[in-house]
Amino acid sequence: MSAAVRAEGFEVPAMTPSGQGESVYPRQTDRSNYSYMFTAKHHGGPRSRDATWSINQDDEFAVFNTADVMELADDDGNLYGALREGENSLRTLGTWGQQIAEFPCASEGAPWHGYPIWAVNDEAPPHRRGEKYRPAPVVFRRMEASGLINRNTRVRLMGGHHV
Amino acid sequence: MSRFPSNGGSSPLFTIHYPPPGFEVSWAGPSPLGRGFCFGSTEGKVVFTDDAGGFLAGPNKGSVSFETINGVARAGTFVAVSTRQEVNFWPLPGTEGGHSHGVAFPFGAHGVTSTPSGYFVAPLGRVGILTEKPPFRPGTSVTVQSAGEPGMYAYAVACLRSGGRDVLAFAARSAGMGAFEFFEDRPSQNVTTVDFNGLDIVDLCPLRPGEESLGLAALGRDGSLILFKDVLHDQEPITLNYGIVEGVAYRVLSCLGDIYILTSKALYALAGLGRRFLAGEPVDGPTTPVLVLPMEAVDANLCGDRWLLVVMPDEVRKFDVRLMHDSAPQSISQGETQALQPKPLDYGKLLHVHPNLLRLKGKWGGVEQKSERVSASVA
Repeated sequence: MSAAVRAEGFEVPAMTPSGQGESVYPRQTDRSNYSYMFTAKHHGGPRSRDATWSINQDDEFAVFNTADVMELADDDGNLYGALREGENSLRTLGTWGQQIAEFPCASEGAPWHGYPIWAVNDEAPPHRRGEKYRPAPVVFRRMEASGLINRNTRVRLMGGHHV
Repeated sequence: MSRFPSNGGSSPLFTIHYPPPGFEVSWAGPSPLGRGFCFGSTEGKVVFTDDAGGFLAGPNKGSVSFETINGVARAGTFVAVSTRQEVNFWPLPGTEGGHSHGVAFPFGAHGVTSTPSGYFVAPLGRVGILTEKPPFRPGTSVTVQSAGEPGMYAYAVACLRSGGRDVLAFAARSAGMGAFEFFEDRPSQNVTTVDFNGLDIVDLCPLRPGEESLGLAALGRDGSLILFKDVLHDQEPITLNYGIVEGVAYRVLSCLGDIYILTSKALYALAGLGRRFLAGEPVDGPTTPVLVLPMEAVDANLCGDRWLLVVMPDEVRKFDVRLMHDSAPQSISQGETQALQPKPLDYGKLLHVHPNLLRLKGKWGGVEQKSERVSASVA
């Protein structure tokens, strides 16, 4: 069960355990004041067909906050985030080793949501409707420019490899 | 612009090839055109050189989406080029259709290779494993071996050979790994799977590449090494962890009986480990000399049993694996190890370390992979 609480100016439901519904994190991003929503779909367990987070909700929000603070966006306004681990590695975010998360651009004022993104394109047209696989290479270059990853890890990630 | 000049030898073990300006190398390996090398770029292009780095052809379009190339292989008169966006199939110049009329399969792959029997094989992540034989034409359907259920992931594939038949093994990340005898004419394949308590398996390689052998090495992201004498039937593989292996493990490769591990921190050459393991000699003691070459690499591939190409941020290092094989002691007796200390070399360190024998009990299982036909589109 969730109850409504006020969190930094927004009327939001209280945090609920993942998998039991949707909830909004009681903090907003440091740069754009975006709110963030946890979706049941992406907390569905290790054998879910959907990409599923393997980190806790505080860390999940930290990935989103990093994406916003570092302005890791593509040309459509979607944000992409990761968590640094050591000198030249990234933390695993998803149940299948995913290390990059995507946050589709939300409507004005609506909370954002996100999920670990598969390293290779696994949806053929018409699902992708001719889109190129995301994130676009320019996003990886922005991650490098921001210091989140180095050149080696950028090239590996662009090739669909782990780091 | 059109050369990969080498320095002629800046190290006893390797020479450096510098890519042309603006060509950021993401993959390097054997040339599908014959002798020499092939280099793929982050812009989806390929260049072909001879053994000395002399330009032969390119830069040519390898990826129709101009995505970063992560694999190149040849089967028959076709060359496959893989990216995270799609797998491209290009006819060789001079064949029907010419190089400019390729076919792109609209699923991304973590790489691509080919089997001795002439099939392309590509790990497609949760989609499954692509297995298809040329030729490819517009509208061609491609076979994908798919478990049809969540819980499997194809991240890397190794091709082995036994009894004149292809055997495919794949790394499945936290689900472990799987292996199956590949019957091209069957609608499904019986896959043996093994999960090592969630150990994140990221790569694997045959221990006797090009030969009739089911010996295989698998690599965990933490640097753990799993050795199989027979990947289809060996229920008790050996799992080793050399404490000196630092960084995130990327690749495991084997030739001439040696095993190479590439991590984010170094290249490790485990002299004679594969040969001694397959010969039934003990490998869990400090009998394996380990050559440590610190470097921060992107990727690596073997070119037969002659060269090891290591992709660096601004260069490609070409190691002479025969020289490395001949220069490292192949084993050390138990008595000798007491007196041996790490030996600093001008290009790295030669260590004698006692690996940890991990008593990981594999959880074995089986799954039926169904063969599905998926259409390709014209590139």
